Amino acid sequence: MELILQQLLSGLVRGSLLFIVTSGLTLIFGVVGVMNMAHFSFYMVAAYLTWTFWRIFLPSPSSFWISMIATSVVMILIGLVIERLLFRRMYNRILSEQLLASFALIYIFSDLVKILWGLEFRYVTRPVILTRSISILGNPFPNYNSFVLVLGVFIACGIWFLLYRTKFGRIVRACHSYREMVGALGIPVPLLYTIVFALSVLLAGLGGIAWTMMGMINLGLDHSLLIEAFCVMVIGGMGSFLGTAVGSLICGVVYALSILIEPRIATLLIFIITGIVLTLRPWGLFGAKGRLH
Amino acid sequence: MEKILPFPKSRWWLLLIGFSIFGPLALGTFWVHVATEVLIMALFAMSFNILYGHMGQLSFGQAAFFGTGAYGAAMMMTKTGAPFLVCLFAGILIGALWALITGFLCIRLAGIYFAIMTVVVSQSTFYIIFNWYSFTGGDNGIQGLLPPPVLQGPFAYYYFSLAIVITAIIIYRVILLSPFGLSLYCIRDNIDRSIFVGIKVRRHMHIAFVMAGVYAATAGVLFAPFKRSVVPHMCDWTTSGNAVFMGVLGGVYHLGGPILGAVVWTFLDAFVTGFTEYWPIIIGFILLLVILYMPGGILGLLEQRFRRSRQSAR
Repeated sequence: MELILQQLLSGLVRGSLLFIVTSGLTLIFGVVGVMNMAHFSFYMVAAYLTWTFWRIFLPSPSSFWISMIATSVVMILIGLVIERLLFRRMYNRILSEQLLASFALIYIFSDLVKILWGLEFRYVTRPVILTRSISILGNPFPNYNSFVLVLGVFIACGIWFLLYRTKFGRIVRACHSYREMVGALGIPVPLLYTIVFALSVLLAGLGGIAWTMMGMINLGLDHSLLIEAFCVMVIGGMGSFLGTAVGSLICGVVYALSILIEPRIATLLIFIITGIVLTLRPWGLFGAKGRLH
Repeated sequence: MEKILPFPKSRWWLLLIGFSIFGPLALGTFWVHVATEVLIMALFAMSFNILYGHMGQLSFGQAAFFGTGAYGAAMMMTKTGAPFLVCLFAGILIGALWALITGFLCIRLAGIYFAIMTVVVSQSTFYIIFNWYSFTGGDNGIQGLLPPPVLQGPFAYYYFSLAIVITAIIIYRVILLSPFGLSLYCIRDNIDRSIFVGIKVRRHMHIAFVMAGVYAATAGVLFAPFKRSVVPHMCDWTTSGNAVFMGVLGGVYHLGGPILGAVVWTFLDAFVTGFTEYWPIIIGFILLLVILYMPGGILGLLEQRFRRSRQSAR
C-alpha cells in the first residue's frame, strides 16, 4: 500500500513534467496550428544550458536558481530566432512541409548538442533546499519532486490566467478561432505568432530545467519523452490545455504504477490506452471534433 | 500539389535497368556492396513515398516495419533453421501483419495525427524489441545471419536483391496506376471530396499503409542478411528519418524519386561518414534546404527547369 502511494506520487511528478513540456506543444498547435516535432530538442537544449549556467555561477549557493532564469531567457531568445528564421516561412506551406522542416531541426539540434557538450553524462547538483524532503502520510517525499510538481501547477495556473484573464489571452483565443478577422482588426498577427512560439519554446525549456533536478542529462533526452508526450496530446485532444493536463496525469500515473507490476510494459501500456482512446474518441477526451484533418 | 504523378519515359527505365545489371561488373567489391545498399534503401524510400507522395500522409514510422521485417527474418533464420527464402517470406509477412495491426491506430485520423501516431508506433516497436531481452536479444541484436552459400558473395547478393527490387518496382507502378492508386491521389488532394465521391477513405488508407509496410519489411528482410546482423536501432526514429530524407530529397511526386534519393543518400553516407562523425547535422541542413527551396526534391527541380527551358525555346 505504501509502495502504491509512493508510486502514485512519483506518477504525479512525472505527469507534471509531461504537462510542462507538452503544454508548449499544445500552445503552438492550438494557436498557430503548427506542430513542432523539434519541441523535445529544445527540452534537451534547455537541460544542457541549465548545466552550463549552473557551472558558471557555481560559487554562489543559489547558482541553480540563477541558471534557471538565465536558461529561460536564452530559451526565449532561441524561440524568437528560430521562429524568425524558419517557422515564419512555413506558416503558409502545407502541413507536411511544416512537419518536415521541424523534423530536420531534430537532427541539427541533436548534433549541435553533441558538438557543444560532448557525449558525457552531465548532472546538476540540487540546491540545498531541494535535497531535503517532507513527509506525506509517513512517506518521505523529496523536495526536488515537490519542486517539479509545484512548477507544473504554477505553469498550469499561469497559462489559464494568461489565456482567460488577460487581453493578450483574448487575442490569442480569437486567433485560434478566426485568424483573418483578428488581422483585419489591426492586430499584428505575425508578431503574436512570434511571441506564442517563443512562449512554447520557453515551456519546453522549463521542462528541461525541471528535468535537471530529476535525473541525468544525456543525449537521449530529446526522445525520452517523445512517445508519452505525443500520447498525451492524442489522449487529451490536440490543442486543448485541459486535455493536456488530464492526459499528462493519466500517462504519468499509469507509467509509475505499471512499473510496480512489470517495468518493461510501462510504455506499451500508455500506447494501448492511446489506442483505446483513438478508437472510441478519435478527437481525444477534450478535443474539438471539427479539427481532425 | 494537385497534379497527377508524371511517370518518367520508359527509355529512362530501360537505361537504368541496363546500367544496374551490367554496371556492377565494372565495379569493385566495395562499390557492389554500396550498390546493394542503394537497392535496399530504394525499397525503403518507396515505402515512405507510398504514404507521402501518393497518399499525402507523412510517416515518421516506416522503421517499425523495416525493423520487424528484419527481426522476423533473423529470428526465423536463427531459431528454426527454415530455408532462406521461407525466412524472408516470414519476415515480410510479420512486417505486413504489424502494419495491419498498427494501421488501425494510424489511419483513424489524417494529417498531424497520422504523423504523430507513426512516431508513436515506431518508438513503441523499438522499445518492445529493445526490452524483450529473452526473445529478441535486446540491445545485443542478433548476429551471424548468413545467407545460403550461393548468395554469400557480394555480386550474388546484389543480383538477388536486384531481382526482388525490380519486381517490387513493377508491382509498385502497376498498383499505383490502377484505380486504387488513383483513388489514393484523390485522398491526397482532398479527403472530404474523396468521401463525397464515394471512395472508402479509411479502407484505402489502410491498404496503402499495409502496402507501405510490406515494402519496408521487404527492405528490412533483405537488409538483415546483407549486414549479417540486426540491431534494435533499425526500428527507431533515426532509421525512419532515413526513409523520410531519401523520399523527400529524391522527389515525392515522381516514381523515380525514392530511387534517386536512395542513390544520393547511400553515396553521401559512404562518403561523408568517411571524414566526419557529424553526419546528422548535414542531413538536417540538407533536408531543411530541400523543404525551403525545392519542395519537389531533385526530380521536381529538374522537371521545373526542363519545362521552363522548353517553354522559352518555343
